[in-house]
Amino acid sequence: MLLNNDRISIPQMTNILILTLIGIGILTLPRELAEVVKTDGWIVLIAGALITMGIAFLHGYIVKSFPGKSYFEIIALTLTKPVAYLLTTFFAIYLIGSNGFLLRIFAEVVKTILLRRTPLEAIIIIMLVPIGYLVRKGIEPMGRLTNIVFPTSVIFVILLFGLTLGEADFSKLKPVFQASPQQLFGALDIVLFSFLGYETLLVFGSFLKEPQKATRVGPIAVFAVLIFYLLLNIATLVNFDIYQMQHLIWPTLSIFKTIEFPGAFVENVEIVVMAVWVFTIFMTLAPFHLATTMLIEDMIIAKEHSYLVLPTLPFVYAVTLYSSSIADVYYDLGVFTDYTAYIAIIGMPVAILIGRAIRKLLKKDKENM
Amino acid sequence: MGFWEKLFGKKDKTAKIENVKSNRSLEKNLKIIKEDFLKDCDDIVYREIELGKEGNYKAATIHVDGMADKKLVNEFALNNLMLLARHIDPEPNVLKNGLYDLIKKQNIAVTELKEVETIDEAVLNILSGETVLLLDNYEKIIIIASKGWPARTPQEPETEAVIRGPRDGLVETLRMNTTLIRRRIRDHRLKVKNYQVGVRSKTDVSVMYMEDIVNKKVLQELDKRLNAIDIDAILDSAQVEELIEDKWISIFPQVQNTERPDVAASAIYHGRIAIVVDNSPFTLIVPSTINAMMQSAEDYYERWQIASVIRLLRYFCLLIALFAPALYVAITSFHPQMIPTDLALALAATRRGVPFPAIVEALIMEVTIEILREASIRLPGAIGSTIGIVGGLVIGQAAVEAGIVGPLMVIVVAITAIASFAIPSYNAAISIRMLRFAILFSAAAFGLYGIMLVSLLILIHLCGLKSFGMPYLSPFITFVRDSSDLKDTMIRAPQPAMNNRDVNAPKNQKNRLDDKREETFDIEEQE
Repeated sequence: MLLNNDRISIPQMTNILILTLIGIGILTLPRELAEVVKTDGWIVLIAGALITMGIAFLHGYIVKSFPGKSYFEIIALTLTKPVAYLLTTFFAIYLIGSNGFLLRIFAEVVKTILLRRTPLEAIIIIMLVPIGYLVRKGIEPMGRLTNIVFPTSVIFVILLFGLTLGEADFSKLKPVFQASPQQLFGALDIVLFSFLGYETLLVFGSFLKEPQKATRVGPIAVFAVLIFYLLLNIATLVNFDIYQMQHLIWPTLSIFKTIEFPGAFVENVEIVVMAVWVFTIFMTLAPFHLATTMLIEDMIIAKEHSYLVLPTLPFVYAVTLYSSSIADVYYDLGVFTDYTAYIAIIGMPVAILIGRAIRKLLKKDKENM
Repeated sequence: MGFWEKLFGKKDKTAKIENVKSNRSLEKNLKIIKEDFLKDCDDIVYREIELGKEGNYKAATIHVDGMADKKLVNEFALNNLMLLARHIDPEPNVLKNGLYDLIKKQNIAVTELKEVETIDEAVLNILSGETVLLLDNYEKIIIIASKGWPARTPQEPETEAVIRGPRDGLVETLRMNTTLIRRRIRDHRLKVKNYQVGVRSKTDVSVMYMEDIVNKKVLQELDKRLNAIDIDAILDSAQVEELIEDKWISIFPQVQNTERPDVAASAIYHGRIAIVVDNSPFTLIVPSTINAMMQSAEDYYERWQIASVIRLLRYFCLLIALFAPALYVAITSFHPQMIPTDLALALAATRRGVPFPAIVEALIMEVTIEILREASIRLPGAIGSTIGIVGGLVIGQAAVEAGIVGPLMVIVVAITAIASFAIPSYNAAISIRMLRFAILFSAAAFGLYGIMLVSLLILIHLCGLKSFGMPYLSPFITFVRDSSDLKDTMIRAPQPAMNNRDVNAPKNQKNRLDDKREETFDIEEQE
């Protein structure tokens, strides 16, 4: 029987992660890669994905080691309570900040392509409505939503990529292995950031039906997204010149401008693409916000997370209006993630694992004595 | 406070609790019934009779005029008691102590007899159409089953007409309905449980389910919810539906209803529960999913390819009914670059001179259509269709000529209206009509972005919705676990392929069909 017990299955969690990972990054990733390593982007993508899979495995391992425990409880167990308060707050700030910047970039894109004369604030605020609505409902409806959104997006993505092949020139993929190791290493940063989002597993881990299988969730999700990014990279490279691409703000949207539907009942497919993209962005923003509210819920030992949804949304809104222009947003996002992401994604999990190891050692000592 | 107020005053729940024991004296009993319970009820018929050769045993029958089958009572109860009984000399010993047993077991020749000990129950039975037999010197009261009132015979259901398939529909009498359903299920595991709902109306409600296929938790939950209903009267199954559904605030119907006994029987075979309510030809089915509102009984009586194509068409109609006017408004006012240039020019030419923005244009036509539809339902058949023609053709044409709407808008609205008729479930179609306006307004404010966000809101709402514990969107969201349920959604798979019951059924009862055909038959082959 399927009662409202707030449990999600492993496939649902994987879906949530995949949709969380695919977000803002897809707009700029091909250009950023082309700027640094030209046509060798795929090497960096694969390398970055392998590293990310490793980290995601680590996150899964933590969830698996503490089945049913919330992230706050895990930190409190391994690194004492005061540290837990500090780190959880930090993690929540990281999530709110990323959410704000993502929402801002999203709104800018919507404004540029769909609604030129609508104020940015209006676009942002009405996006917050479905986010608030879904987050109030909790993780189980979110899992079900991904069950619908994910297959639909896959069909759309395959269809759209198929259509971009019309004027593809595969010789543009050459030459390969031209970038120096330094360049490749420098570009790794871009890829690692474009994979961000899998850290929500740490928060949602306590809702998994089978936490013992948690380690596979992250790597599978990252692998799926890697395939998507590789497709995207190839699709943009075969359609644009490498130099042309460096001058496009959002090359991903530009390739869809080149599509012509057979039969021509719709022109400018990029509007349709935008419409689908709204779903995937939504599925990045909503899990982030859900994770935020759940972290705060655990911290203040609240019974019901739904009351915390609305009070936290203004913070997200404040971050969206922090930067003044689209260029500033990208700069500020870069600075913000530089300061927070590494600690949130690698620092905290490693600290937890070390804390756990020390705990175990102490325990053994006690038993030996 | 007098007994009358106690019984039917403000706290009328006491009517059920109050147990008025019956007396040994016939006079007293009659007095209680006549003066305390059924005072001023002139449709109650009292018949006081005297039994035995000497006529020294007093008795009385009571029934409601018109609700009891008079002929049955006359021929098989009164006739036996009053006439035939006189031909035999009564043995004093038997009569002295055993008159009651004699009458109960030997004299009255009807199939069903009950006995009750309180006057409340007796009165309730009288009001349900039974005949009550009171005997002097006995406390027990005999109830003769004599329900019989004018009832409609099964007719072809109007709301769910089919080209091929059974033509009998449910009627307003509970027992007839349960019979129509049971006729299709000759299985001792079909259970029929009775409830009485409504403090005053005491409406009979029967819950029908297949004992071994039904989900026990759903059954328990239904039992809980039915018992929790505390209302004065139930006039139709719609009231029961509203009182047992999961979220009354939602616009989507979470309980399926049907006028067809074959649909109800099929649901029972699939482990769902049918709730038959007296006085209503609509049977409720729980748990229900969004899939149920897109299915028609005919899908299973036609060939599967045809049924599948029609199902796909219906889902397409659902999309049109929801989005068509909104897309028109969004594209013409926000994203004209989406339309191919030629079409855009043609569109602009037809809209030249229309003084309103697209949203006003759309609202004028949509509201007109809704008014037309409402008006044609109220009018009798022939005039109704005339209104349709006058409204649809004349007003549409005139509006275009007057230059207040563009011709394309008329086309869009007409297609939308027709598409919403293609959704089999009427109450679902109404929700779709309402949601269409929400999407229309969002399109007017935010274009395609608005449409996407409102559809997202609707999707989120649907994802959170459950009908008796079953996710409303299943099997579209449960296919990861069990993809076989998708065989009966957007398409209707051939019968041999639909060998499983849906996700709701217990694990050991999954299988429903084995295809044992062997294709070895050859007409030419010599024996």
